[in-house]
Amino acid sequence: MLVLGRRPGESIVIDGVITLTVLEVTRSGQVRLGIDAPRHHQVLRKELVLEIQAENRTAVALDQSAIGDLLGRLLPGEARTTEPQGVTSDSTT
Amino acid sequence: MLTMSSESPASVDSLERSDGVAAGSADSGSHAGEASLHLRFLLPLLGFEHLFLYTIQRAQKGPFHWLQSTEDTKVGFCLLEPFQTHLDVDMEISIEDIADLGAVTADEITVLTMLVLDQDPTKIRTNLRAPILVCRRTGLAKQMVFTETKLPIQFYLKDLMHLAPNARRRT
Repeated sequence: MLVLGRRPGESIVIDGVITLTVLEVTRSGQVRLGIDAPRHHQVLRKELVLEIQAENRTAVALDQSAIGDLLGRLLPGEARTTEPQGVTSDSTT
Repeated sequence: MLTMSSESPASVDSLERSDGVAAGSADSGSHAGEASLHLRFLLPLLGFEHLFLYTIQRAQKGPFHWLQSTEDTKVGFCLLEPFQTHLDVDMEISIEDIADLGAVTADEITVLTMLVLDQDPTKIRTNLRAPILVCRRTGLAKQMVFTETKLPIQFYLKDLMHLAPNARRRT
């Protein structure tokens, strides 16, 4: 990990296109950052990224027949035509 | 900023292939409802950063879709089309997000959410915070992440069923 010391008002530039500026350091120790990046760079809080990564990985289903099983469970009037396969899943990556 | 809500479904007609562009020939499982469509994700799904290419196919019944990686056969997802249910939700999608997918109007965009399945139906949930946007005409897709919203990452469908027990699907 590269560690740089910066004061409020100072910036770093990543790949020539992303500018990260320290706006403020509060007494409580919170650092406010300003980020200027092209639209195709997704800027997110890491805890949110981790939460969605985990949810996406949990969402992996093993077989398309899971849809039929889902219908059978959520829509009681629909007939289930196949036995469920791979209804639940775990992380695969 | 464009707001999509269950009262103004943005994709009622989007399930029909409009011009056959990017139409695929992937598996047609027993629950397949139409030909599959090849998709390329502009940004990979979080947690699957090495995968960009998928096929998507709507189920024969219900507002469900199957998203299958063509780069890793072990990676597939059940998706829900939330605006085809009675889920009362608003999603603000920017014009830029629509344009990113090559779409001209919101009508070209289908909004889908990932389902987490479980043996226990009461634990089946969907992620409303990070929907997947699909432009069926261009075959481009992306997973949005709403940062300024209270939309839940884990919304349990049992709550939806309780809200609309006799209205299973918007038509």
